[in-house]
Amino acid sequence: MFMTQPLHIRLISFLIVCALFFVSANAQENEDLYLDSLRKIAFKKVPDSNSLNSLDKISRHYFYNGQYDSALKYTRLALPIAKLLGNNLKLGKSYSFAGLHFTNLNKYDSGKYYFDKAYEIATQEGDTSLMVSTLNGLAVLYNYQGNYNKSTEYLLQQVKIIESSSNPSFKQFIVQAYGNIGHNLIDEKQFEKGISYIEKALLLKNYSSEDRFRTSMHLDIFFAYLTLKNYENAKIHLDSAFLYNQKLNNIEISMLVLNNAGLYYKAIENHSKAAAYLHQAKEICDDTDNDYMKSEICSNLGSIYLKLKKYEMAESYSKQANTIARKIHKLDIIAESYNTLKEIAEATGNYKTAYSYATLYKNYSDSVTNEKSQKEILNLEARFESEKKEKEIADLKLANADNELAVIKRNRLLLILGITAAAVLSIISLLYRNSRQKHIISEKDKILKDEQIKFLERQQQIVSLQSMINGQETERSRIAKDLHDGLGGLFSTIKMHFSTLAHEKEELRENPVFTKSYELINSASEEVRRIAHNMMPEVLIKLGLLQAIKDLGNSISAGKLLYISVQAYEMDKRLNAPTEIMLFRIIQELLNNIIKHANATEAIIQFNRQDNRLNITVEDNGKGFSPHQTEGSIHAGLSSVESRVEYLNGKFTIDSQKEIGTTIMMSFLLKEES
Amino acid sequence: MLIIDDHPLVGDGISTMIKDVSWIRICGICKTGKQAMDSILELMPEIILLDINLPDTDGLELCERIRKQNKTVKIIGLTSTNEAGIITRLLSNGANGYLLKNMEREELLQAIDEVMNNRIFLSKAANQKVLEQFNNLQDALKNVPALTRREKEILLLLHEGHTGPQIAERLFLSPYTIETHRKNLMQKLNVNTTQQLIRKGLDMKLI
Repeated sequence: MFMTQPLHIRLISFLIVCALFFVSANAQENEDLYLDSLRKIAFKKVPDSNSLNSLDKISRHYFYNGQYDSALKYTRLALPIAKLLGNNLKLGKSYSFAGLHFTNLNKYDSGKYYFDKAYEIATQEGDTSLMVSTLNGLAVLYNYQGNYNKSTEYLLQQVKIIESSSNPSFKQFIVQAYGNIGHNLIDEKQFEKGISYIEKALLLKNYSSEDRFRTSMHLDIFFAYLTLKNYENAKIHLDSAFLYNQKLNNIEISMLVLNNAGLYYKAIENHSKAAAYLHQAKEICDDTDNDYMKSEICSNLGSIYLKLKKYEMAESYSKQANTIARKIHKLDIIAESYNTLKEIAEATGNYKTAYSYATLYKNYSDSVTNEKSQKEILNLEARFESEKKEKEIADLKLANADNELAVIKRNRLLLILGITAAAVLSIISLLYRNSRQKHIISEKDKILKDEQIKFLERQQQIVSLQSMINGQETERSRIAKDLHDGLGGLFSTIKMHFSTLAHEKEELRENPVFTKSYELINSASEEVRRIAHNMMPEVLIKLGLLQAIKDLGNSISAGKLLYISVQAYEMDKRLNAPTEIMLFRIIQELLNNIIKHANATEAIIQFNRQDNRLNITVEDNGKGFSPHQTEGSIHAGLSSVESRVEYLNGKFTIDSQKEIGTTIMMSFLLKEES
Repeated sequence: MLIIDDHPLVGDGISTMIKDVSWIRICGICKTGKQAMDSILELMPEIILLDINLPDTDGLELCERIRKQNKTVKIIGLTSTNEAGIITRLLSNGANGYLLKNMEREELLQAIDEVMNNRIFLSKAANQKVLEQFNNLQDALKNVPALTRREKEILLLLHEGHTGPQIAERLFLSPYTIETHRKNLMQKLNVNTTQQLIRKGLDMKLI
């Protein structure tokens, strides 16, 4: 199994809400200065709550930058101060935070110890947010150890607490919980379920740490699709991860995004691109002490250069990966690097070396498998033990005598079990595992169903909004047609009769009442035509979006104030009618905005279609604006455009420069035409 | 002359306008595309006034069908809309002229006279629209595609050897946006790689 499968090591971090911190963070422009000033407060002669806050700010700073050992150092400094001040809640928060740092440093025993202490304090103080954070930390810890069931259990416990609480600021906890459940499911290779959980989490908006969460969640989905070999969807989520990562300044997440980009391009066999991304990842990683990432990236680079037939580079990176992985005992990477080295030796005709690498590879991949099965056995044992304890407690409540008897019985049973060897034990464990799993799955299913209902409701909302807009357009179209054919026809006919009348009775032309009526009918029919055209341009229905936009552009250009050019590539095929109408309205609105606010003299509307991807660029040379600026009407116009783009599942980017102009870009994935 | 229009009053109106013109005779009024195709075969009109909004078929298409079957009959498009795209399509589908429905008697007579003398007739209002359209066509005929400001900037930065992410950082845009611009550029200049893109950009003096 291990021999044939390429190595994709999961190095996507769990979502972590830092409610453990006392004060919310502000972006600091000058980090060193900021940290120095905090240190000054933290190391006062007589420590007080201000020094505590400062220590936590420093720790948080390092945490967000992925420098966990420094973060741990400062959190540990906070512990005695919190104790000294008798501030129990802060002590608990510091414990929980220390647990998180230990977990990130792969010291799970210490992590568990601190989390347990934190949870104790959380229940004592009845602080839900500390409870939730600590449970999440425990979930992270068990996930890192490969014990996904236990991890999910903690998450579900967390969901229960969140749901029973009415605190609206718990939104980010919900995201965290669902995102992490999805993460676990993906780790367990239940990809579709995992994706659906994370997608649910992605629907929520406007909470703190949104960019960080979104990056991680998109990476999770990306990974799932990549493993499922659905490269198209994988790319979409990779792009999104890139997008959100951009707004962050987190070394670790950047490395993950870049490393995953490398994996993606490796999977679609664009090896040189993969190498470029991995090099970027390595560059960032070299500045950190993160040996786990370093070994992963080097190992990936090794196998990429092997694919690119640059054997020297491949060898050097694989050896580097090997050395680091040995240092931290990362068996899978050691095995993988030997495998790459073996293939390099093979490719360069060095069969003797290849043979010795092959042996090493085999040994290590065996121990990886061993390690895995050992982990599994440990998990099973742990479960068995905990089950035992639960029963003991229950029996204790019944009667002491019974309990003793039960213990003896159980001991005997265990003895017999021991004698009847591991086979029986494993059967029982398996049976237990099955029932346990069933239980967890049914619980998960229940929550999943609830969520599905909420998800469907949301979908319903979008659909009903869409159908409302569609309905509006159909109505407009109908009224326009009625105006044209009905009223327009009538006016035309009246005019024809007047015209005949004027011809037959020459003297009427001198009659002011007649000429006035004639003129009025003329303007009335013009008016009908104008209204109908504004409602639904006939050219849009008959000839399509491109021609309609060209006509619109021409009529604006004819006004001489704004010159509009339209460019189109591969737009010969028409889109489906509702999409065309929607896109027309979007562009119409954007042009309206340009005319009203931009003060521009030129604008370009550009359509680029490649298969079912359509990019629309609308650019002007106007005065520009800041996207955060809330100047009423620009904002209203753009947000209505943005929501329309959203209904079409499109991406919307504003790129505006003051006094230079604005470029608006929209990308759509078109559904196949029916 | 055959009138194809589903609006009964329009037919009436036209009949009234030309009732005392000796050299025009209305041989029939059809309300649907199907009727029209039959009537043309049966009545063999010299002129057809064709409304492009019909209940059963698209008038533009009908025009093309008539022209395929009959090379000599004069077709004058008739409609209440005045949109350049429609007008040019009508003419390229074989119509000899175009009239807005709210025409005056003189204009109708002039149109009939012009097309009978093998000239193209466009209603005065239509004329201007078509000219605008042709201006636009001339723009499109130029081989060098016009680049947007951002595209020019990105092409220049690519030429200077910057990578996508570097450009993104420099212009404060996301790599995704840069990538989209680059893809658009490659499509516009009809090339497949960034190297070709830069070379072609230089050739076309876009950089």
